[in-house]
Amino acid sequence: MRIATAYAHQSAIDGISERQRRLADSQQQISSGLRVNRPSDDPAAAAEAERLRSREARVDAEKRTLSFARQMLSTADNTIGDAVGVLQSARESLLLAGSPALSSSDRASVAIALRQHREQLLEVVNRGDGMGNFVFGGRGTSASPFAPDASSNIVYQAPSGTVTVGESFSSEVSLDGSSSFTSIARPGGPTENLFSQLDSVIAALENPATTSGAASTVATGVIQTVDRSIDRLGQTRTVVGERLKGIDVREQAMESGSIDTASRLSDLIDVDFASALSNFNQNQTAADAAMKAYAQVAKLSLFSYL
Amino acid sequence: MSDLLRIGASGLNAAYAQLQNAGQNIANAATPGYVRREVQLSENRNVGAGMVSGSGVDVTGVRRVYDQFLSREAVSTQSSASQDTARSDALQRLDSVFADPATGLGAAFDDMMQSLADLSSRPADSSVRTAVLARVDGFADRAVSLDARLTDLRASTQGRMAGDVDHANDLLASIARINRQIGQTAGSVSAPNALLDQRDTLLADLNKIVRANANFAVDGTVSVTTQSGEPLVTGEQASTLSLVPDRLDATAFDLSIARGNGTAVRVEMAAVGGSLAGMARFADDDIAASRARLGQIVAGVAQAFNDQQAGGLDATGAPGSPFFTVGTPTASAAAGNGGSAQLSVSIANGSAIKASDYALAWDGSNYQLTRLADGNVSSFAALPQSVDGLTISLGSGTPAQGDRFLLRTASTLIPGLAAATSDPAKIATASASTTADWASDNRNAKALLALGDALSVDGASVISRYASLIGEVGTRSQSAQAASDMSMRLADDAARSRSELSDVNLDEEAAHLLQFQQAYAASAKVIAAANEMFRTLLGALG
Repeated sequence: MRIATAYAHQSAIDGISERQRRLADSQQQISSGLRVNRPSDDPAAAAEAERLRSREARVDAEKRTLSFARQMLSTADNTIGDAVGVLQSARESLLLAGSPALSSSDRASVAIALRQHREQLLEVVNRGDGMGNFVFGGRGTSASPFAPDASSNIVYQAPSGTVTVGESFSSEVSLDGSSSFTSIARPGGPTENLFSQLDSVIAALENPATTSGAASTVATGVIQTVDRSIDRLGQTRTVVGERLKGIDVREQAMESGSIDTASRLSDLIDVDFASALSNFNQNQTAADAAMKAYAQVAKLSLFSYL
Repeated sequence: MSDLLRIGASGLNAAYAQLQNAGQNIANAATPGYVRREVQLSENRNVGAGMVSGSGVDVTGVRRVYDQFLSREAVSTQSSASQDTARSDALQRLDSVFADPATGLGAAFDDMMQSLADLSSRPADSSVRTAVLARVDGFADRAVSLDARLTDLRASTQGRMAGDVDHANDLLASIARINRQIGQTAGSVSAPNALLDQRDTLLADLNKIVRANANFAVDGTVSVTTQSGEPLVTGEQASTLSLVPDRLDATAFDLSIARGNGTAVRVEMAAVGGSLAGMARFADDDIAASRARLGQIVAGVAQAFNDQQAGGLDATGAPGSPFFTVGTPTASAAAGNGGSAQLSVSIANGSAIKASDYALAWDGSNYQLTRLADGNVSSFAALPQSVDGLTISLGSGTPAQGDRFLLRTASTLIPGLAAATSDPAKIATASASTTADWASDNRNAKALLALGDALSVDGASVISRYASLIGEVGTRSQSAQAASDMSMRLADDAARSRSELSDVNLDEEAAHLLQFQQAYAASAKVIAAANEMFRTLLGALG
C-alpha cells in the first residue's frame, strides 16, 4: 500500500482539524453550560425542554393569579374586620339610643353618631383593590356594590354570585354582599336591609317628637339586625380564612412542582460538568498527540539522507 | 562500435527521460489533480548485422498511473458526499432558527396566555386589556418573523443553486474545450497527460454539483451524461443547464438541459444528484414541512381564539371581534393545464387543518387530491368539497383532463397573519348571558385562558405541536448530519484508494532519482567503453 506524500500531509492536517473541532465543541459546552445547544444535539430532549419551558411559564402565570387572589382575600379579611368594628360601635350607640334617661336633644346627638357610623360602614363595604375589583363585588361590577337607589335607599346592585379566578385551581375572590347587609336573613320573616334600618332609626332619633319608648323599640329591632349581620360576617370571615389557607397550600404545591420542573429541565439540557471537563481534557490530549505525531512524521524524508 | 554507441546512447536517453519524469513528479507532488507518471520503456529488439542481442531501449511513452475504476469510485462517492453535505449544512441553519426556546413561537404563545391570566383577574383594568392586545400582536409578529426566516433560508439556498448551475455550465464548457484539445493531439506518441489530468479534475468538480456519468473514448475524450442519460457534453458540444420553475409549484425549480440543437429536456432535481439535489431537497421538502407545521399551529390558534371572542361579549355588550386575521389559502393551476378552471380554497375549520399543501388532479371524471406531506390520496367526483378543514370550490371555467392544481394552505396562512383588534374595549371578557357591566365579568376571559391547553390544533395542544416541530427539525438535522458523515467517510476512503495509486510519494521519487542517476552513469560508461575500444582499434591499426 503506497501512501502519497500530499495525501499523508492532508490526512494528518484533517485529523488535527477534527481534533480541534471536537475540542472547540467541548469548550462551547463548558462555557454555555448546555449540553443541548440546538435541537439536533438531542431532538427528543429539545422537544421535552420546550414542553417543560411552557409548563414553567404557565405555572408562573398561575402564581400571578394566586398572588392576586391572596391580595383580594386579605383585603376582604381586613374589610370584614373593619365592618364588624363599625357595627359594634353602632351597636353601642343604638344601646344608648334606647335609654329612657335621654332627652330629645341627647337623642339627636346619638343620631349624629349613628349617621357617622352609617357613612363609615358604607365606605368600608364598598372597598376594593382600586382597579375595578370590589370585596363585596358579587359576580363583578364596575360601580360600587352598595349604592342608593331612586328612593335613596342603599341597595346591593352588583350581580349575585362570586368572581372565581385560576386555571389549575379555582379560587373565589369576591363576596356576595347582599346576605350580610341588604338582605339579611331572619327566622320566620322577610329579609332585612341594615342600611334602611339604620336610616329609619336615625330619622326617628332626629325627630324631636319621638319618645324614648318609641326610640327604644326601634333601636332594639335594629340591634337584632346588627347582631345578625355581625354573625353573618363572622361566618364569612371564616370562609375567607379557609380560602386563604387553600391558596397557601396551592402555592406550596406549585413551588415544589416548579422545583421538579426546573430539575427535570436541567437534567435534560444542562451539561454534566464532570464529564464535560473530562471530555475536554481527553480532546485536548488527543489534539496535542496528533500535532506531535505529525511533527515527527513530517520530518522523515529520504531527501535528507541524499 | 556504432552499435554499442547506439545502445549506450539509447540507455542514456532512457535514463535521462526517467530523471526528467521523476523531476516532474517531484515538482508536481502537491499539484491538485496531478496523476504521477511513469516512463514506459521497451527493449529495441532490432538485431541488425553483427549484433548479438538487441539495439538498446526505446522510450515508448509516458504513462499516467491511473485506474479508471478507482477514479470513478472516488468521483461518485464525492458526488454523494456533496449532496448529503449540502443538505446537512443547510439544515444546520434551519436548526439554529429553533435553537433558543425563549425566542420561539411557544414562548410568545405562553406570554399571550400570561396576559390572559391577568385579564381573568382584572378584566376591567384597561392597562391589562392593552397588554393582552400587545401580546396577541406579539404572537402574530413572532410567527411572521419565524416564517420569514424560513423563506429567507429557502431563497438563499435557491440563490446558491443558481450559482452552482452557473459554475456547472462553466465546467461543461471547459470539458468540451478539453475534448477539442485532446482530439487535436490525437496521433501523437505520448498521451496528453496534462490535459487528461485537467479533464479528470473538471469531471470531479462537475460531479460535486450534478451527478454525471463519464464515458471515455480511446483517445481520451469524454462524453458526459446525467444519471438518466441526458447528454451534458458530447464531443466538443456542451449542453447548457438552467433552473426553470416546476410546472406544478412555480416556487420550486427543475433543471433544464438545453442541447446545442435547440431542444431542452426538463429533469427533476431529486434525480440530478450532487449539491443541487441536496439543496433542492432542503428548499422544497425540509423548509416546506417546517412552514406547514407553523401554519397549522397558527390556523388552530386563530380559529379557537376568534371563536371564543365571538362567543362572549365585549365591554360594550357586543359580541367580541376576532383577535387574528390569517392569510388566505391559494389554488394555482399548473403551467401547461389545458382547461380554463380556476379553483379557490378557503378555511372551513382552522382547528382541523393538516400541516401540508395539496395537489389536485382532474382525470376527466374524478378529482384526485394528494396531501403532499404524507402522500395520502382521496378522490371525489365534483366540487365543492370539504376536506381536512378546507373547502375547495370551482371558481370559474372548466378543467380539462390531466389538469393539475396546487393548493397552498398551511404555507399561506402566516404571511397574512396579523392582530385584528387594537381597541381594548373589544376584548370579550363577559359571558354571553351577562346583561350589564360586561367589563367586570371575567367568565369569557377565563374561557380564553382555558384555550391555552384546551385549544386543539388537529387534535393536539399548541405547545405539543410546537415541541414536535422542534423535535422534527432536530431529527432531520441530526440524521442529515449522520448521512453526511457516513458519505464523507466513504468518499475519504475512495479518495485514499485513488491516491494510493495515483499520487506522488516524494521518498519513492527520491529513491528513483538515485536509481536513474546510476542508470545514467552506467549507460555513460557503456559509451565511454565503446569510445575506448574504438581508440584501441584505431591505435592498433596504426
